Amino acid sequence: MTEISRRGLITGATAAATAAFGSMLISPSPLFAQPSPKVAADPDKDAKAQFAKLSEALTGIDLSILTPNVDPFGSNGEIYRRAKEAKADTLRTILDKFIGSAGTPAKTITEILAEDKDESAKFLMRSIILAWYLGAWYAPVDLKTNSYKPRNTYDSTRRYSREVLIPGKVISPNAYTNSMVWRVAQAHPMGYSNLQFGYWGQEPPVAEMFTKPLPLDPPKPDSK
Amino acid sequence: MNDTSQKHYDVIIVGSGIAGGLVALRLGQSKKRVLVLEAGEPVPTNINAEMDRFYRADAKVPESPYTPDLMKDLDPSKVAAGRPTVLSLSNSEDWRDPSKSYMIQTGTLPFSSTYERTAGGTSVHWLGTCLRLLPNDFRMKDKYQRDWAEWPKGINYATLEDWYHKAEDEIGVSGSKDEQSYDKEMFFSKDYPMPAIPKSLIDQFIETAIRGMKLGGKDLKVRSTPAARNSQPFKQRRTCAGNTNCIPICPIQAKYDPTITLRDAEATGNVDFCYRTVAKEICLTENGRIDHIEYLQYGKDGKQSGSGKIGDSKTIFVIACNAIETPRLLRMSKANGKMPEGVANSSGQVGRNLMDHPMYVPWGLLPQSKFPYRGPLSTSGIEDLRDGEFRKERASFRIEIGNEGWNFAVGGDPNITTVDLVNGLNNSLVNPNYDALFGDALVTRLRNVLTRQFRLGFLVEQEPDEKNCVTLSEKHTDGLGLPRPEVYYSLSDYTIRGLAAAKKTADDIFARLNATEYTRIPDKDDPTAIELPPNEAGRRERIRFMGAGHIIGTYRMGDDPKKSVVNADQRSWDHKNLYLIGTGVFPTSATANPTLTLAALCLRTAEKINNELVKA
Amino acid sequence: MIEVDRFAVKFIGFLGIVMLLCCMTLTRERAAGQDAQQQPSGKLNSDDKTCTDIPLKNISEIDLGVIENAIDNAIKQGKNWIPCDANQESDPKDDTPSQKLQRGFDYYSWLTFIALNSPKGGFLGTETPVWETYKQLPDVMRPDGSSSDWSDPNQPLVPGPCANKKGMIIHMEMEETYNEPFKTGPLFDQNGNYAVFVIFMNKQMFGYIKENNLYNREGQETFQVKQNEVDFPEGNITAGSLGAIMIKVSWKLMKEGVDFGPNVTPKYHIIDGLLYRPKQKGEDACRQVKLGLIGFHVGHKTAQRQQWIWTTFEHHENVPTQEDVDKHTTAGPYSFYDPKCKPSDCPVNQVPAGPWDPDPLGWAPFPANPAFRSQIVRTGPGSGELFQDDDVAVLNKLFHDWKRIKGTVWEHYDLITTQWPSSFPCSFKKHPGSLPDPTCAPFPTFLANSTLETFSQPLHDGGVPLATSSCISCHNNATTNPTHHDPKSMAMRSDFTYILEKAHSIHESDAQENNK
Repeated sequence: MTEISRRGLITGATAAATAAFGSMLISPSPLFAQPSPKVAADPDKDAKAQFAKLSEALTGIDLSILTPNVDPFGSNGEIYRRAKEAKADTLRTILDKFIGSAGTPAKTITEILAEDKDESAKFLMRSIILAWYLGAWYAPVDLKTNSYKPRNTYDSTRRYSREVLIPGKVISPNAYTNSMVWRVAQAHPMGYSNLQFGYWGQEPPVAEMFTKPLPLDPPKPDSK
Repeated sequence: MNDTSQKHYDVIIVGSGIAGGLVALRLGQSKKRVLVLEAGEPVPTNINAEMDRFYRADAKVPESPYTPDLMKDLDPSKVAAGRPTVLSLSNSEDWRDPSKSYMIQTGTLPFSSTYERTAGGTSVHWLGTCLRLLPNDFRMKDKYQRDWAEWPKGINYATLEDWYHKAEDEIGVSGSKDEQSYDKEMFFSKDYPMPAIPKSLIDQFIETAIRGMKLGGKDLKVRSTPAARNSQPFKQRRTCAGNTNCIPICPIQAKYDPTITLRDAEATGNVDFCYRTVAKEICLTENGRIDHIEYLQYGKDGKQSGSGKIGDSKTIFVIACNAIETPRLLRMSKANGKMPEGVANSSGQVGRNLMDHPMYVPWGLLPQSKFPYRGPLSTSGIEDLRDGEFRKERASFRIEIGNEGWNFAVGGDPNITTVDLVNGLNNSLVNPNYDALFGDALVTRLRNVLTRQFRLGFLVEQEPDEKNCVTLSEKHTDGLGLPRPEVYYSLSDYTIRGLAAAKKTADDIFARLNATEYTRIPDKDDPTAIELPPNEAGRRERIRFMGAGHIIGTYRMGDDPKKSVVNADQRSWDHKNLYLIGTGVFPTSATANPTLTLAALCLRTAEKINNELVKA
Repeated sequence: MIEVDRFAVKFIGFLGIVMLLCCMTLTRERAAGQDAQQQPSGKLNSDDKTCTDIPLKNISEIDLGVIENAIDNAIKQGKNWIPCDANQESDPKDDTPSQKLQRGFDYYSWLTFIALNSPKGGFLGTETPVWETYKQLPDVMRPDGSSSDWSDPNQPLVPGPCANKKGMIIHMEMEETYNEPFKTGPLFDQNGNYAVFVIFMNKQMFGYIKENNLYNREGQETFQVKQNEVDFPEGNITAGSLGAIMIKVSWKLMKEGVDFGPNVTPKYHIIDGLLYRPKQKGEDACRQVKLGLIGFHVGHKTAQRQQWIWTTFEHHENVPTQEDVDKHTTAGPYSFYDPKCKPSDCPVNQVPAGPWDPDPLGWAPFPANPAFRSQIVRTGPGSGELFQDDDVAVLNKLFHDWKRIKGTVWEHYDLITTQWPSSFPCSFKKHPGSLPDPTCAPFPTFLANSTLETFSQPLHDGGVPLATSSCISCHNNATTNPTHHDPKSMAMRSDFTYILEKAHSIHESDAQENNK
């Protein structure tokens, strides 16, 4: 029987009601349900997981960065959705080959490209890379059109013109602030810095800290 | 417009940019009744909408966070309070196309700077550079025989020094006076309110590389650029976190922008604001005083919603609409036909002498990774070449070091380089073999390029030329039916010789850095291409120039009413209760970014106006 | 290393040695006799550095009995029963769903809330909550840059007009008291009164500031030039140490006969307040009022979350949610919303035109516009928006229905949510400033209290990075504000607190003293 300070009992409730303090389970059944039945199981769950692995191979950025355990932005799901929307069949083909292959991811991709007669896989994969890198969707058809431009047509006035900028559409503010190109540059998205005053005068963290998972520290003794 | 039309205002200010804002603040603090008319939108409650627009923008141009919305309001003839945009300057056709470009440009060279019409004005997206003008910048006529570049006798470095200091305190400038030692005459009565922003890795690299380098007899040094950017918490604003986004918007307001001053002005309790209110005519009394201003108003839908007039002949009127919109308003005011060239224009100089700092921007790759895209857009520059006897023959320049890689230079990096290396293109010129990469190969190659990118900027002084001017378009109007500004722009030989010297200096510095240059040579038919005079080897090189965002000179100050529009106090010679403030008063564009000098002059003018009101 | 501040020397006799956090030994404060006015028993001293870990056995079941036992034992042993840390799996690599992790943090938040609102050595009730005995910001960052002592938490720096008056001093001369951070604007209730905001820190946090001389700008300069890094003490379950806690609260002026009085059942935690306004005359310079708690922020530095854990509670009647507005279920009454007013007459989440400073103008209603009432809606993240199942609502109901809370004022306080750095092992690493992203992926991404970050709430269709309120992202920008006599001096990270930048200089006429 626990002793509870009288002060704690002096509330609006009557003393009598506070007599018994045993186990105070509110109900015998678990209070917090597992994922509610009103959420349907995601039919694309496996495909998205495969897509993440494909993305890792395409982007060169570690899986744990593309799909962190706590993932408020769902970038993987969003980019997968767009790829599927653009070319569902091609995507399925790529994923099947990728998952089914025994070789290294890089080799597999090379094989996929070799078999890619109509170039649909090639440009879809490029769209996927750019979506991760730049947070913007560059449709495969636009990439294809622009890849065959005559050489050296860059007009130096056309800094922001529609001709030079292949029409890419920013996916969302969060997609931009989580885009990968800035990690490769060991910097941060322009307009989104979490760094401290004066950091620019010092060397950035080494490249691997940006594209590979952070190393675990060795266990430390109890502090303080 | 609310209940304001019933009140008498001591001062009515047209334009809520940094000039109008500072004058409003000072007069409000001195308990004068002030009304500010602003053509654009009010200060927003927070910057959610602006940041959202910015993050979503495919082209993150300076105006991308602000309204009128770039993605929606495309035809300038339908926009109530339109303005020029970088996108409309972005290729060889649009800048001349009135259905795309707000300004009607009649020259062969595009005027390449843009502005905003919104609360806070154009300085909402300024870089923040706060350099003072040099003592000799004020002596262009006496020392260098540039006759038309004459400042009033009462305006020079010594008389302005205290005002510079006050402006730096008000805005919050970080800098080190010891570093501003490139001109012996340039004294500082006090140091800056905040210490200098630390130099970036790129600054440090260049600093080491050019040590001992002399040009024109001067030792070159890399110096922190004084800037309106917090190097410590200041006036309840945060310390700079290096968002590398000063232009177009600092997400944490560590960079000063004039909405801060507008809020402070409002807090005095003596300043009222009317937004979406476009001044359309300045009307006179019988004896040449300003009697009132007529205005139009529009609603959130962009359609005209009302009209009216405000002010009386006892009011002091201050026009602070930037150096294109101010002459536009003056010219639209014809005093019932008695002044066909506009009010305040007995000198004929209203709208004339339009200037910018034409910028030469070379870019390249450093021999080592020095990690751009970090820190403020620019933290240092080379100021040693701003003055010298050469100014008799050719324009001067200062050098800005960029921290943002090729973002400004190629217009949208790292996107352009990334798309190049993924899609097998070569718009950036780093991919001559048209490689299309993925995985580790992409990471390595992209990292190698991005971490070595850098660019310089040479801001060249443009001298005044009467034929560069702002007039009214006879054919093209805006969404309120008002005539749009028509602009003629060119560069004189003196200025072009300055660009040539800039190019040569750029080449020398690149060589000293052992950098690989990637600056594009423009095509012959590129409207921003300038053909330089023959160089030492006898060749004529072609370079591209850009606008620096500095709009200067169209209602110049002077001591002679026949040759200037305003006097040293920025007061109109023609109309005793009219002041025209801003960079439009500069007789020459000089060698520094103009905003700090504008601020100093405006604080000085505010005191003059206040004294005048006190006496009355 | 024990350093005794020179100013403190006089008080050593009856204070005991100030608790020092860097040292390994735990020194109890002597003679809790000074607390005698408040507590009969000298056993518990809740401003010591102890804490209590009450882990969830199984996150699906919350056993209130277990909680009670743990609390009672802690009280008996004279220990704090504030949680040391949120007891989460250290490595969520095992695919723990975010929802489950979030629940663990929200549970920690409720325990923290109850513990902080309990008196020393007790459980809730009507005695002074322990956090009200913490030190207020201006008592630590004094205008003359002098140091202060913990010993007199009930005798803070007392302005003249408030001498001999009882109550919590509300410093209306400080802009932070009536204007939300970065001058985003003031908040007015349906009576036209300002909401006021007050910042507190616990003893561990205070001790660190004092020991390292961070309470004035010169001290901050010395600290940084010697290449130290600001690193507040952290809560640690294994070590049983509490760590730094900072609190920010919002108060509403209570109306007699409505919020308190002989026939009124109070729904707010109400205190005596003293509104200090130096520019007013007579009684108005220090007006006695009753204040009701409407918003409660806690930031807690812990070993596993170097970005701190951030939690916020609101009074149930503050504002409707966006969902309420969309579904027309805005029944009220609300402190900051009038259901009968149309959006065209009462634009939502807007600031009034200035000036806003209540001191020169006079008090209530808001003199620049006496008719103005803030019309505020909570636009998210709502608890129901994070996940499909509204866990926070379930948790709130659980604690509200608990016999020890039901029927008290505390059943009217809702947890909004808890923000925590979600990236492992990122959030465990010391020196976050040297990481590629020092914020370690805050989750949920945005968090705002409708009374404290009223005007930085998300837009209707979601939050915008850096513009929308996020505890960790915003506090990540906090730096010190040192003087600059030494060329090496520069502002540096202040470990997620803006308290340090509020320091003044010893020399008021120092040219570098920035305008406040």
